[in-house]
Amino acid sequence: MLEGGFTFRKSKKQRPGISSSASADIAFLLLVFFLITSSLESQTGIYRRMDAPAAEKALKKRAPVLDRNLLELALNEHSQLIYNDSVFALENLRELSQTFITNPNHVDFLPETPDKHVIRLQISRDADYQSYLSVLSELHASYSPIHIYETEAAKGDNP
Amino acid sequence: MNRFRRNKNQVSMEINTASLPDLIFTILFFFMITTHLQPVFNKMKVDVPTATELQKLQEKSLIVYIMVGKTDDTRALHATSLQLNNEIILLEELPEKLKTVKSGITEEDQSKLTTVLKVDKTIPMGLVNDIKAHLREAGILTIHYAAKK
Repeated sequence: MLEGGFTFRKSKKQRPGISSSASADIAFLLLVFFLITSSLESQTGIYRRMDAPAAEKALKKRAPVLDRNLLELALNEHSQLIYNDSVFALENLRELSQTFITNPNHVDFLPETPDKHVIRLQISRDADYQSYLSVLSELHASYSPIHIYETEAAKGDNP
Repeated sequence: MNRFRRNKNQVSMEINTASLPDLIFTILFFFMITTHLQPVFNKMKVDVPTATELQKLQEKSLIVYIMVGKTDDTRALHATSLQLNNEIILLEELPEKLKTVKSGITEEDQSKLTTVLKVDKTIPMGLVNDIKAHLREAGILTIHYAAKK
């Protein structure tokens, strides 16, 4: 009885508020956690859009592509780029595809208009992935400086 | 002179730290919103190829992760292994698993699905093409080939 009265009196005297000094520390801990676990650098890569299976069938039905509109490339089993039946240096690919796409001198063996061109890339099953991405990257590069993105749809890589 | 004396008599000011937690919380929220946690963990070694024309991954949601890499496990049946999101699967299981992934998403969002293809640079293109064929059949047409500078 006496003891109870004592504690009652004590609690009325000093009611301790919640100390907020530790909340800064807690927030700091969370902050550090997020700083460490988050990946600030975003993932990089190359975007590609494949044709839907239905579109593929439609493509097969249409009129064959004229020779002058077609650039045929291949990646052989040794991961070498083949153009005109001979090994082609990857460094020259950008220039080749750029002249092919734009046809700057309007010669009669290159595409009539840029939007009609088709690049066909044939890939051996044994070619490695790095060589494929290098070719893809170079082809992408040949599109970007001349701003003809709409012709991307005409570009098909038929494996 | 008068001013000088007044300063001397004053009690030294202490910086009020009551607003410090709020400040830190603001920074915390900034980081929580701007960063994204790694959604999928690599269960294998993947050394992505290098390329020059790189684009950043635009959409961070609606993504299917496919990793193809070498396994560290020497007892594994195959030298290479395939990982879809968080589980290691076989190539034959891929169409079925993709169906399961798609079934959890609304019709409208299904067309927005993007595959992040993280493939080791030494993997033969035959395997990559098989995966691409499966993806195409499943109707997931946008691919982001992971590469680095």
